[in-house]
Amino acid sequence: MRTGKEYIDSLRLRNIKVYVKGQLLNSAEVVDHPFIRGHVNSAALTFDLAHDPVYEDLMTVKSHLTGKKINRFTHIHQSIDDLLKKVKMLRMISQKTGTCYQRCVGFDAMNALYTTTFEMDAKLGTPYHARLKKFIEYVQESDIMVAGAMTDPKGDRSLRPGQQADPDMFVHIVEKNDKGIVIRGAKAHMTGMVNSHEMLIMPTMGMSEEDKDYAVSCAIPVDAPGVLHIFGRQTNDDRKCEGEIDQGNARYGIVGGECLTVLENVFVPWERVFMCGEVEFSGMLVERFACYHRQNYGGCKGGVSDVVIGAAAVMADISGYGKAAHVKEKINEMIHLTETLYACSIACSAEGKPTASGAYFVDPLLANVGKHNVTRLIYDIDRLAQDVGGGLTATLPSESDLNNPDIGKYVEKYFKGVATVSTEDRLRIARLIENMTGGTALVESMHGAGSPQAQKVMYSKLSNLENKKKLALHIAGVKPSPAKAAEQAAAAKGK
Amino acid sequence: MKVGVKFCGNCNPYIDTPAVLQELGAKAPDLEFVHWEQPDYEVLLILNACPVGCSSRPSFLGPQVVVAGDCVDYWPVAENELLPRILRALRECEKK
Repeated sequence: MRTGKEYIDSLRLRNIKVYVKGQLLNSAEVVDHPFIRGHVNSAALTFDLAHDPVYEDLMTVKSHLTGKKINRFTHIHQSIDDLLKKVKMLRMISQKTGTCYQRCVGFDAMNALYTTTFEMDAKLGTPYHARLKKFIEYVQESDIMVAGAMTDPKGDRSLRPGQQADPDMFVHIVEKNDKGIVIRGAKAHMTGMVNSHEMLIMPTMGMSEEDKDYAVSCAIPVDAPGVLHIFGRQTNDDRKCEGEIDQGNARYGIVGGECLTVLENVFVPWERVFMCGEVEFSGMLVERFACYHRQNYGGCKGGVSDVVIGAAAVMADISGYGKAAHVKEKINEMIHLTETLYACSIACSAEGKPTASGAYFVDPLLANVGKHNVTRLIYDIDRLAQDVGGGLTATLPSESDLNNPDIGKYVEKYFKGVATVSTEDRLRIARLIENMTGGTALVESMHGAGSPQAQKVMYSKLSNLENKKKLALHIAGVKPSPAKAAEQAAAAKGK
Repeated sequence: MKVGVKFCGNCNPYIDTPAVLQELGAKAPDLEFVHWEQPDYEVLLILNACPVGCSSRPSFLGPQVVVAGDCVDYWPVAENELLPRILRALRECEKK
């Protein structure tokens, strides 16, 4: 298993093309750019913690492929305990970083592909599962970071991939030959991509027969010829080019560091292709990935919210209102909401089940409910943090003002809280609340792992509404008509 | 062949497992379905009413068939294929 330093050193060896604010970065120095450095530090912690005996029970596991001890982020879930430990691991890491560490996306992509390719091969006689296992063994042995790449730009959302004015709005196969395939298009909102080694491409939705060229999954090095990345802007990102305090979380940053990844006729050898036109399994792959990824959010956002709760409580203490009844009530409300998020992730893991491949899958309904809660409750948690944090979280002068020899004394004097705590410490906590509860951080909770509507569409499919109707009719004493009763009996028997 | 049957408890029925069992009996009169606590059955059939499949496994060393909602032995099955797939799985156990 790699250490964090080994991970960062290995990133310098890539020949990656990353653009930030219109400038192409030197590939060896991508990890040092102020916009990217925090995200690299955060991901590096997933490597370092695996070497710490305190955390090894969550961070490491025995590979079912090789029998060797591996970083859990490269594992294929073999039990309900694996699913539960994934969630606990995510919460624990988030408590240390206060932000995303990006490595779950590739983790989820590997698990989704593992279960899907097994079932696809059994039905269609394709060779993907054995190929994927070799790739996973390589990932486990070399302990690399894999970015999961699902979301296409999608262009006109009312049109299917093949109907778009520009065919590149969805990643698609433009050529097949005896050596492999060539793909073209782009992937949007790519978390951790610029500090990964490989990416796993997946279709963005279930495809139909006319969209065969868009049903593609494969692994590509992030620095493969034809690949370039355009790094996304975040709220307050220019503060990363200044001092430390105004960033709030200077060491690890905010959210995951997302980019647009452009694929300009990228060649992929056959041994790295895991789906090539098998449209009937594209929906299964998307759904499995989405559910594994939605499982995460009560873990990682639970840990992030632990930090937000702590920040709000500290701000109350150092401002002298920590004992106020309404503040205690608000902190308790934040705890209630956070544990509600966590409970869903634990529940969908506890209700997990084995798939035909032997790998375990979460309960899809509960995973979707959990992520849907995140799109709402994080806003409530952060609203309460801003309430408790006070107006200064939005109106503070800059770190430069604090350090200015002429006016610094006024910042020091007039932003003081209780006498025993320095003004600088109070400013640090205020900035942490500001940066963790606004802008980019909130939007990520809304749309990361799918927008709320993506979760809602799963409810009608997964919630067994017909049974709920039957329960109500039975309790109300409504007798179904003979024809309806026969229809229901047939449906119940699976005819 | 004697088949031991265990139900999951039916907290969230996606399929009507008692009806499934009744239908199996009608389609395969040579199979004798008994409660899982009875001795001497050759195959264990676990009927989970939803995909979670949480029914606990009794200590039985012989072959088993696990139904969980729309899955038979963890493979997804189309609604109209459920009964034939369960029967096929039971017949395969019979051959072992």
